Amino acid sequence: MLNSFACRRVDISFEMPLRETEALVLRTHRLGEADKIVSLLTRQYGRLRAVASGAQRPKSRYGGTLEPLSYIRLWIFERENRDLLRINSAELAESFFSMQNDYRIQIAAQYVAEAAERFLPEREANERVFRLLLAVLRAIKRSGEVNRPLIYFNYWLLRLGGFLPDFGVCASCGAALGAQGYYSSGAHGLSCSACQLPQESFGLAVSDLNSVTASCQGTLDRWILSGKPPSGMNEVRRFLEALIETQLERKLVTRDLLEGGH
Amino acid sequence: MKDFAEPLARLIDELKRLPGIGQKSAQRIAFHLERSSREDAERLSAAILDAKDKIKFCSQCNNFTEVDPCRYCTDPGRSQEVICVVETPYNVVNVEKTREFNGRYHVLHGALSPLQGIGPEQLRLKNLFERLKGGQVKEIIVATNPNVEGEATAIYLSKLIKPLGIRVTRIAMGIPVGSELEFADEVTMLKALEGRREI
Repeated sequence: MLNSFACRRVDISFEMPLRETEALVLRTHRLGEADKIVSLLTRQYGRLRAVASGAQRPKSRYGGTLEPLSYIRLWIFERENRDLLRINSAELAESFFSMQNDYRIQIAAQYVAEAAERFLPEREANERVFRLLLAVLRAIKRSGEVNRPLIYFNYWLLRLGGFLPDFGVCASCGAALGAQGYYSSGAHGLSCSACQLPQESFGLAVSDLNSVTASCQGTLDRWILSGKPPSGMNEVRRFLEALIETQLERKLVTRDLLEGGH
Repeated sequence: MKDFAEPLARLIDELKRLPGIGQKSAQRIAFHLERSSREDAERLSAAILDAKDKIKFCSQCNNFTEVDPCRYCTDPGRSQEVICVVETPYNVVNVEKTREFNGRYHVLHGALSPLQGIGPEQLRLKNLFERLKGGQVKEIIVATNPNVEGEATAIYLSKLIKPLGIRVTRIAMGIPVGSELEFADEVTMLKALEGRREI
């Protein structure tokens, strides 16, 4: 769990027992025969885990509300001496269920959920990351495109977390990069040709990276509407995903499936 | 100092590894077993080992079975033209309880779930496509769970099977029998409308 985000720690020992918030469902786990543990990214309280009683039952009052990637309005409360919050009720604000129609889009959306769940510390509010996730999911759903929304997501997740390296210089020796940079597994940025590890690295045109960086300064919708994606998108996406894995010090399971090109 | 004697602690630890069993349930079962007779404990351990030794996958449908092929695959009264695809062996029991389905089954042993690293390679799909080669199968009913993973699996299967000229259908999703429209969310209501039928 990372703590570099400029966010505020949230104590949910509420004075009022019931609190209302907006949330994105990141994933769910079965709990016993009838309940679910729901991992949520909330707008006001950051990432939380809560129990939804009876959510596995066919006539559950939650219906399809707690399906992964649903954007919901949520009422939660906390019991003393319990780690997990309890969901009192939930209403669907926007569903991303239709994204299951395309397997690659499903993997991309779940990559976003997994990266956010691994990257964000629990109970630290960060509204900018919440808005980022929502914008990226909406863009994937609307455009059916994967590369640009994921690049935008990776870029801003790293930047908001304070982990975005300077793309203009070698991460090893600090020299200015030429036309080509090289990324080696586990590095915190690009290397120059002198510092690269030939067996483990892949090359990246610095001009592609600069073009992407410039595009990420505007809104994602404007970038997607700007026309055909520029060249080198796959390499840039792979590079940013690798940087996220380096910061997490673990592999993301959805990344292998994305690379698998299903 | 440990809370329980070592053999009892070990039994509780093993029980806790079972799905849906937490610390308190494990303790309750362990103490129940400790209080029961030796014959009861032997019968339970023999039943576990017996099931473990004798139950295998059906080579045709992947269902759990004592004899291969399983009784569903060898029953001459069952239609070979319809195959119902389900996620788990206990889903077969759910469909059988209706007493309305007279076709055969195929068990995937999972559903596509990128977050759990489950892709098409992890599902038992190979022998399904071998069964489709014979030309006898006219319809595939995809009865995966009505959730994100189940829906993705259903659509993935339909994209692979439809080009073979086989009809692919999906079990209906929507309002559960006995509930009220008032409490249905948008996704459930939309699916119910999509799956409406003429009466």
